[in-house]
Amino acid sequence: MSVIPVNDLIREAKTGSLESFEELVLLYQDRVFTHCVHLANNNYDAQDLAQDVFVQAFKNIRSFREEADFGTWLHRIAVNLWINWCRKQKKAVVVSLDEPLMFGDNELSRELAASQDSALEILERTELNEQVRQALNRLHPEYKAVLVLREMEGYSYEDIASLLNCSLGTVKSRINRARKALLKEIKAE
Amino acid sequence: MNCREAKQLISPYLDGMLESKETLQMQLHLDACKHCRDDYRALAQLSRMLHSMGKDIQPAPADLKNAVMLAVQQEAAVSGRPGLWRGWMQKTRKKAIPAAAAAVLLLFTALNGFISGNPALVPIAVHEGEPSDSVPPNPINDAVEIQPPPAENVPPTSGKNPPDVPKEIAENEDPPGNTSTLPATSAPVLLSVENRNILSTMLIIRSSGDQSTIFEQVQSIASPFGASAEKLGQQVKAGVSYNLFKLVVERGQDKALISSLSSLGTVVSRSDDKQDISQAYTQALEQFLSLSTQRGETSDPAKLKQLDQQIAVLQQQLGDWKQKAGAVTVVLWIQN
Repeated sequence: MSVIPVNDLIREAKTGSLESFEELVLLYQDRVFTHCVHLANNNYDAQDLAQDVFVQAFKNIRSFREEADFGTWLHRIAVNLWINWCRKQKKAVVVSLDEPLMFGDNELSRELAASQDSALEILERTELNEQVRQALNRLHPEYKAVLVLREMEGYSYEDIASLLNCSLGTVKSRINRARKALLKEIKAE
Repeated sequence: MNCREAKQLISPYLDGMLESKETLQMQLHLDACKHCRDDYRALAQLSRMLHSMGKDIQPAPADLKNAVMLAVQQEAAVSGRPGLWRGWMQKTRKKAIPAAAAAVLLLFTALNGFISGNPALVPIAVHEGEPSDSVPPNPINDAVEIQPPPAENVPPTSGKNPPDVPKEIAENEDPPGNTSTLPATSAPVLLSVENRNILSTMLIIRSSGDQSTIFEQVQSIASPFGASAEKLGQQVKAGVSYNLFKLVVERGQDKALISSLSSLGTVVSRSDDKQDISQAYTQALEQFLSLSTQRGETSDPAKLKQLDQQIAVLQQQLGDWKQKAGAVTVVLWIQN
């Protein structure tokens, strides 16, 4: 493993050094691959996505600002590539981004109450990871993306706004809706 | 604060993103409203679950880096960044590994749960186009000492060698391919649409026969089908010892071969895998054609030499895929 500082590797990669870029790939591939697995939900697509991420990074590395975090920049590329791929695939959207949350008449509470168990009780009984993962995979890609970035990757709201190139208010709203959409998906299983 | 307002703020409240005044109002509302309190607790638990799902970093597949650098190299060639890719090729050392080893590691892990305790027959699992979600990306830590790349990501090897013979990329000044004499109209290796996948099968057999002559038995079964057979070694998994063999047979003969191998004992499990290389193949072919066009439009000797080298690399990759796609690899685990 190279002991050259990351910024030096980036600087050299910007001049066209494939060796330096290869070192960057080695440094970041685990993190990028993990992120891609979270997005794509299977290792095969994740590997393809991760490869595309690095190729895009190579093509655009000259535009990378060195004061930014390279790993975050790679994640940004991954999210954008994945969302674009989902759109092209016309990935089935179970929950529309435009679907209004039923606040007005407190229907959400009524809906939960109408079922035999509250969402909390269902969650408590729910078999972990796999059901949540499957439910996550059924969400609208942009809902899934914010949950992956916030919950799994631990990015702040501000970072997510930068990653997705949207306002902080949009991030707040989207995370809120995404979490509720996910709960609804889990409850529906 | 009413329930409607609380539900709009519940998520940023969970993340500590509210102003002090709103935070206090939310706390008071949650203290008073069971429904909203339950909603909050459900979201909090969901958040914890997602966090725990995401906290582990998964190792990237062993071949990812090479696949990336191959793609990057091709990108550099197309975008006209001369000379850099040669530096990378000179320094790259990798053994070209039998494609079957990928199947060994991935497919065995998929069946690990079975091997560890359940001897019952399992249905044949046929993976069309992509591996099962249950297949983890990690090679088995204690598997036989082979590090295979998936077929589409193998760095170029000499097309003259059979796919199962490990080769080292030579430390020559020039990459493989007699570049200065490469014909300008060198045609790419073509693969038909229906053959753009690499097939492999993993078969686990509980043998009741003489283990001391098991390899000879395997060879005698393989021979009529024109299949090559080699020993991969021994593997102990969950206290059970297996002899591993790799057979490579021409497409069309694989079904009959596998059926004949079943005579070695009781078939405990079988898993078929199909690795789709369409996309990688198409991309490589497009690269090849693009470079060939460039070659036809230049008379600069240095540029010609560079293009010939790049074309040779792609030609080797295409040839390697054709060779692998024309054969089926069967990895045999015979329980002692």
